[in-house]
Amino acid sequence: MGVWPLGLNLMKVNLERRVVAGFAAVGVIGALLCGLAFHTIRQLTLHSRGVLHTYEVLAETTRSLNCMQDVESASRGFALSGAESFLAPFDTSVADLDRIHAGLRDLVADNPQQLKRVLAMTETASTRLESSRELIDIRKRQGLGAAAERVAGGAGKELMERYRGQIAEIRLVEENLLARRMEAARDSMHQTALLLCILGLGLLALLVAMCVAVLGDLTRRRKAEGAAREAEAFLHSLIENLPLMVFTKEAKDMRFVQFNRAGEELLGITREALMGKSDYDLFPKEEADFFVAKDREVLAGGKLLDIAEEEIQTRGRGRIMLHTRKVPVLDGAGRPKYLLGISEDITERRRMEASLRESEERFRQLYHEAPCGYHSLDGAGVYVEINNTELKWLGYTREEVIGKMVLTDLVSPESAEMFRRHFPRFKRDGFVNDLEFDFIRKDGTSFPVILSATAVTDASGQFQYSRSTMFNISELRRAQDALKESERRLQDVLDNAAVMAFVKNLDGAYTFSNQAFERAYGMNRGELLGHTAAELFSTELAAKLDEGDRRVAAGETVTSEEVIPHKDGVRTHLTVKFPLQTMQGQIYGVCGISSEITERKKMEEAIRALNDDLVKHASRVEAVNKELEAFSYSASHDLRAPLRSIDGFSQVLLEDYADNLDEVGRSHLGRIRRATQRMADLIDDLTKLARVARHDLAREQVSLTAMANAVLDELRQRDPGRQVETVVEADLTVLGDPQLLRIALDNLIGNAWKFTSRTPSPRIEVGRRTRDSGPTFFVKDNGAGFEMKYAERLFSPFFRLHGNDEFPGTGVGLATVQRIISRHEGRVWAEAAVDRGATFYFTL
Amino acid sequence: MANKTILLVEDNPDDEALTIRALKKNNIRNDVVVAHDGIEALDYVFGRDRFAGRDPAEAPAVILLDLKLPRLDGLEVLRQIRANAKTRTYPVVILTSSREEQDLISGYSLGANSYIRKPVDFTQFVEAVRQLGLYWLVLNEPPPAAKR
Repeated sequence: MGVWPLGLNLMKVNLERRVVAGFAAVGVIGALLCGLAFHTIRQLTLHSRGVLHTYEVLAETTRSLNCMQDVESASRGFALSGAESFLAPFDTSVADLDRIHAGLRDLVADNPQQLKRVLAMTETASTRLESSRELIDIRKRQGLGAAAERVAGGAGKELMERYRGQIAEIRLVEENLLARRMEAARDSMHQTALLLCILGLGLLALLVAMCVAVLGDLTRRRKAEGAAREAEAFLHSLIENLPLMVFTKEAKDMRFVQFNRAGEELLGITREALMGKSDYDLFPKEEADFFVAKDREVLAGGKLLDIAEEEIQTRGRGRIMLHTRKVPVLDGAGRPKYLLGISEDITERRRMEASLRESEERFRQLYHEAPCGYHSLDGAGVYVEINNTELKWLGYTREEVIGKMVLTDLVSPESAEMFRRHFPRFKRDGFVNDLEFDFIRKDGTSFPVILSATAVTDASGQFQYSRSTMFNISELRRAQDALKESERRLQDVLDNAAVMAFVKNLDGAYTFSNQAFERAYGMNRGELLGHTAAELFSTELAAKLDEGDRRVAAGETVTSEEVIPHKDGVRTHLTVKFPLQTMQGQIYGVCGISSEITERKKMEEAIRALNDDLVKHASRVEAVNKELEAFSYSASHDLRAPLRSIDGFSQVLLEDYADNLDEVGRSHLGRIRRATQRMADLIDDLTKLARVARHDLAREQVSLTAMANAVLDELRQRDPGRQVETVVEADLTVLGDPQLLRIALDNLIGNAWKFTSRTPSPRIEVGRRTRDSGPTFFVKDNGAGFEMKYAERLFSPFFRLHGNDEFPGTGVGLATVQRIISRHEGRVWAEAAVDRGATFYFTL
Repeated sequence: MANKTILLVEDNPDDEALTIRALKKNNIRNDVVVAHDGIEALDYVFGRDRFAGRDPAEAPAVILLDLKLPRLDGLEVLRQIRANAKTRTYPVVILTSSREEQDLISGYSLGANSYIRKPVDFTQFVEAVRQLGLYWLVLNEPPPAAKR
């Protein structure tokens, strides 16, 4: 995370100046100290030299004295000894002494007083030396005695003493000088030391102070840095965690340099992706134009710009609305360096505002368009609020009512009286329910309402205004009237009905009766209603009348035949008792409807007797049928066997005894064979006919189309040589017995096939014609046909219109068809013309 | 197949004669055993009485069974043939003049292999027999001998 450009530069500047100042001071003082030190050293050197000088003088004086003494000793020695060995040292010492004295003269050259003394001394020394030399001379010349005398003369000694004294004086002066100089040196040293100390201390102090200052500065700086860093960290954390988007762009090229987490989440772009890019890199052109324009405005204006609403395209949250504040961040020179932006996502807020507005609008609508009237009255009963519905009902405008009318102005006098009675209590109690008022419209008509209200009070319980709801109950009143009318009607209807009707409540007391009931039991309504059967009738009768009531009360509908003893005999009533339920399904009474069925009972008896007879009849018929079945079965079987023999042996004859028979004989046998065949056919057909009669009729969906086609296929197979045009209508379905219908079609289509055998271009058609009574099916051919006068007899068994040589047949076929069709409760008839074909129609 | 027997169960002597004639006419040379009623038929099937010594395990080529028989009905004969493990596989062709549906149902229910209705016309009858012979004696694979 980069450095936020607030910086700590100011603090650094301060410190630098201070440090420079400090060092300057130190320098100055240092220089001073150096100067002083230099001066002191010079002084010291000077003083030292002076002291040294003095010590030299002293030393020289001492040496001089010693030398003199040496001279003396040497001279004395010689004087004494006369040894030549003392002459050398005497010379040496004299030389030395000269030298020393010269040196001394040089040394004290600066001190005229001392110089005088030294000169004096030197004079003395010279004199002494002279004396010594004299001594020596004496010795040399005069010898010891003279020397001794000289010595004893003490002139030398006196000189020596003088010398010593002068030396001592010089020494004293020098010592004084020395002392003085030493003191001076010490003083000056002391002074210097003091000054040095002071300066040194001063320097030290300054240095310390500087140190302290610098350290202090550094510490403060570090603390400040620390604080700044903390502040920075805090700021950074603040900005990172702020739920608002915070971004910074560089002022000169408007590229992003800073971006917080909230911004990343909002825009759906990571800060790495954002860094260094401009708006044009990230957003559509129009948006980017807008942003950049605003940015320029901010930077030019130099102050905060509040953009209440701007739309932005995000990655991941679609288009959102932002409230953005942009502010320029200036550098030290007051020029814009950065642009700081803070954006808040106000999409949600806008949505909620819109939704709130919508909601308020909805409620407003609900209030005003409600199907009931809402209004509010103040403490005096004046309208302060009224909804559109109520205004519409009343026919006034809002301006006419609000603040101007009291409720009593709009109601009938009786209602106004009721209002005045109830209103004070209402204001106290806080509610009132279901008062019925008659309101009067502007046009003078009135309508009834039912009104309930609650009172709205302020914090201290004082009545402020009412919230009232009222419903127009004109409909209700009308419904009530209609109900009364309906009840009256019911009573009238029942009173004039032939059946007896009554209602008992769950305690058994009669709550309703009609005239028939009252007449039957010889009571009038007043006596009947409110009493139970037990109270009104004999125990026996009451028990009969109440029978089953408990079951009805439990929810059952009980139908029973009551045998009621009457004055003129016993009558049978068919009574249906059923429970009466409320709309919620709760049973509150037993309702009974009785009709007299005495006559009917008698008839029922008769019918039952007849039924018994019928059953007996039917079983007898069944038995007969069974016999017939057995008969036809054996008939078909047993009758055929001999026929087979006849035919078979006829054939045997024909084959085996062919030679013995002539034409005539063979033809006879042929006749025999043909006759037996015919008989077999007859037996077959009769069996079929009998079976049709017996057969239990099945009821199935049969496709006549398919069946007809099957029959035609079989016929074609049996007679492949014949070319017959056939048309079978599709989707002929019918409800019937498939086996029997097959037999019928076999016969009808078989007939058509047979009777078109002589027709040049035969055509057979099977179809359906729809009539009002239902579909009629037909089998039509263009064959031999017949005269219509035979149409009826055609269906009689064994009836034939043609001989066997014209068209073979037994004559049973159509009889079978008729029986089958009539078993299907249908009709079959035919239409034809000679040589123009026949059409057989049938219904089922 | 010439050695396999045909059992003809037929009470009517005329029909018997005609059937045998028809077989001959079609060059069917198998031995024909005739039973005149149900009991005789079963005697043959189970190797009893007159036919003691016949092994029931050896099936005849085909049994031509009439339904209307005295003493024991044809359907009953069939039932007994089918009830016995040894004789269960005998090929039985019901040859009758009855075309009653009930007979058809009963015959097939009891396990008849085939149901032929005797035509009255003798020529047709011969033709029927020819086809029978061709089918049952030549084309059809007889059941293997039952396990003893």
